[in-house]
Amino acid sequence: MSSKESKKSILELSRQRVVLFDGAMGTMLFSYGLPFGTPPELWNLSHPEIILKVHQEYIRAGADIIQTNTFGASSLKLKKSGNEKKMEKLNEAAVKLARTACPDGKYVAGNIGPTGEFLEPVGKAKYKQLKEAFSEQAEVLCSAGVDLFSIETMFDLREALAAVEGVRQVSTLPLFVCLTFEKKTKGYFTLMGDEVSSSLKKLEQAGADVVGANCTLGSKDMVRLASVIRKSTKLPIIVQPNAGMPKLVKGKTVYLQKPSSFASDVLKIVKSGANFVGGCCGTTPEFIKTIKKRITALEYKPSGLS
Amino acid sequence: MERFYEFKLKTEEANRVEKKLKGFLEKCYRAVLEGDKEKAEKLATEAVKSNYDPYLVIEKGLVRGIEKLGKDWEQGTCFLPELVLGAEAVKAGISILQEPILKSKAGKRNLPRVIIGTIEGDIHDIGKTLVATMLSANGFEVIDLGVDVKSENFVKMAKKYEPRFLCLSSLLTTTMQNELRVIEGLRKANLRKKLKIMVGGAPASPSWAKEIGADLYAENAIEAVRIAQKEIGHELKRK
Repeated sequence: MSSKESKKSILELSRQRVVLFDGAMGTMLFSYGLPFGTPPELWNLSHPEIILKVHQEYIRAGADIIQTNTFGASSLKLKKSGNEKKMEKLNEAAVKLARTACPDGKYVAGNIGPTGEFLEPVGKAKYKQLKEAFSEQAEVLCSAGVDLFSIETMFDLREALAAVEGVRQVSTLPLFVCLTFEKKTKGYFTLMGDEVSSSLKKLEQAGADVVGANCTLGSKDMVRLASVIRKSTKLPIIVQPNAGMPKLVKGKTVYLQKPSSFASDVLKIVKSGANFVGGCCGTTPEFIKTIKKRITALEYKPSGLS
Repeated sequence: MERFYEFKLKTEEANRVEKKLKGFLEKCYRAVLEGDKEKAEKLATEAVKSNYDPYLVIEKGLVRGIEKLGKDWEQGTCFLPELVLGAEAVKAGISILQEPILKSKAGKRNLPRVIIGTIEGDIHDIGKTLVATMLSANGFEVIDLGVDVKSENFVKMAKKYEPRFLCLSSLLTTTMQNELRVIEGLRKANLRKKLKIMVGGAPASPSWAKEIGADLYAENAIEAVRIAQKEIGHELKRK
């Protein structure tokens, strides 16, 4: 698929119907025995069969877009566990696995997450440094053959902008960006205090094609945030909630929300104008399957797009 | 009559000094709200030169600022950058104001000591560092062991530094089990009763603290300070 065609088709598809992303990767890998503290990206090389299996399960569940297991595969993030030299190999392997699982008519998103560094003055990282790390990762993902980019879980608008600019240096592919917002008394804000509307505008100006939110909030809170996001931008929007809040039960992390209640909330999110939906932490192929069923049943008419 | 004027003059003088000091404390407070580290340092240096009571400047100036930010942060009206920069300003100011105090007490520090770190297997830094910063901005001596701290290392450092508090941070539900190993290690080393253990981090809770035999649980950095202060009573305040 050439980049131009893919850009046209995925964004065009979203004008015809709701497009479904996959669910969680990290929490799935934990259930397959990934030891805590091990960067999930290492499994692209050491346990490729499991990564492939997760992708295939999401495709079977009805996801239109699967995301590469590269959330923490920027060199800056990998450096924290001493794996920065594997940056290229881990990203390449991840794309190859997702491509293997991806049939015609479905899409592979190159996933990019935060570096874990704080920008000055709170931390020591410089904007340019982050932008370079993102650009370098995006270049590998792009030449390995992703169809689009999905930047996620950004808690600092400036880091998100560094990621958008970094990707835009090396690629014109469709670019999705999700910030992660907390619910505060005066509305929704990122950890660094970025407010929804102006943040999304800046991301658009920097070159994002689709903007939205993922993680931190469960589906109930995300329903409200979705309508705030819808009012903030003319771009297509993406929303990916967590499966409620994690609980520790007998030494194991459990997300107690059931796929059916999650899917009901996602349906509300769709009704308030989301064009792309999916699941974040704690969601499984079962969640995606349930959403798919409910969305198909719903006679969806595109809304909110100019 | 002459005496009366003398008295009046003296009171006026006292009022003027008091007003000046009040204005000065207000400046310190503002410097923290603005997260202006350089200004806090300048003011602290000025305070030392002018012989202002360092405790007063810390308590009614700098710490009052960080308390305000902490309150706003809990209410969601100020955010991480303001809080971190404010705490940095307080820390910078305190370290200058402390110099004369330390000299006068023969260099002996008597701040309540805290050891803090993120548990083995977990490299989450933000929450832990914020707690460390807030504690030291509120007059605790903090030894930050960083992230992914081995259980043995917590015990070793507790033995060496004899802290009043040991703060354990975790963000991953499975590695948080390692907190139990730290507590067992302390017990074996006969250190358990010599310090208070405080746990925190997203998956921690009061019931988790109880389950593993920790003494205290704090929901966030501001609460950690409040709880630690409550534990040591009002030692920090001027006697």
